[in-house]
Amino acid sequence: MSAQVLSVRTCFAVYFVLIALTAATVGAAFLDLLYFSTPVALGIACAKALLVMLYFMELRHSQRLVWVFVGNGVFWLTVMIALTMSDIISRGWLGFPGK
Amino acid sequence: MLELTAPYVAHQFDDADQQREASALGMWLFLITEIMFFGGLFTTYVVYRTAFPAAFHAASKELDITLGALNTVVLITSSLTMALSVHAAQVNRRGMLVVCLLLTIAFGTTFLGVKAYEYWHKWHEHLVPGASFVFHGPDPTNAQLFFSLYFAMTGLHALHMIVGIGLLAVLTARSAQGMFNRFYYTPVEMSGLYWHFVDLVWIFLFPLLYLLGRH
Repeated sequence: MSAQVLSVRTCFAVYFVLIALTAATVGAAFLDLLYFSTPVALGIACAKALLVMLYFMELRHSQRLVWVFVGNGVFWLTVMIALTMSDIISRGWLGFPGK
Repeated sequence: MLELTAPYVAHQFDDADQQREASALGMWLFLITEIMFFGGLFTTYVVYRTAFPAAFHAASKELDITLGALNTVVLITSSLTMALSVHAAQVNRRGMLVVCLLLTIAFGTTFLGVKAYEYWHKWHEHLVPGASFVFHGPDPTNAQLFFSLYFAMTGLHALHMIVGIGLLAVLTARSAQGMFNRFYYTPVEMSGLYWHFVDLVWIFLFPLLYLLGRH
């Protein structure tokens, strides 16, 4: 697979979407969304991260092996946070002495 | 084209594409170790924010959202100029390559300048954890945890920016000497991957640190 030339138009288009999403996340932070503030902020952050990875980092045109590597990174990060939190949150559920 | 690419291909590779793919794979692998490196701090953040939501909410309000948002825009713009640098190398435009790399360095330095001002401000407001820490909101003890994480996470991020600026400075000098062209620009591309990664980390740091207690 040969290197694709990064298009200037695409770069600018992605840039303006990223700026718009930054404005959106700042705006959303001032709204009272109850329990949804953090999910909305993280959702926008994930969208921005995907745009940066797919376009600026050219993941779109990368070999599939790179996708497997990136997927692994995300998977283990999820494992680290999810398993840590499953322990922290559930610690108080059962009344073992000395928990 | 094969004859032209040959001088740039190390003997262990079949062709330029294979060489480039090996570099990209290695760089991504390094970036994944970086994800896990920052991941430890993000996990710590999640644990303590879950434990002390009120302290984190109040402490986050002390951060300057305008400067945080400004820095986000500055860093995204530096990612744009970095992407344009790769484009310039791909289409053989040496002048544009040098200018774009210099712009990326300029935006990166601006980011660090704003960050330094924020640190200086926090120092003056006694918000640096330690003996002189003063916090008037609820739960000052645990608010210190937020500021510890704030300094650790943004500090580690800033350290990555400083390394990145060093890389870009070397690249700029080499680009000016004409060491990169459309057949060989792997160092520009790999440094670009690193720079965009630093941007990615900030994309998550900004909402988690600055935007949490706004409403």
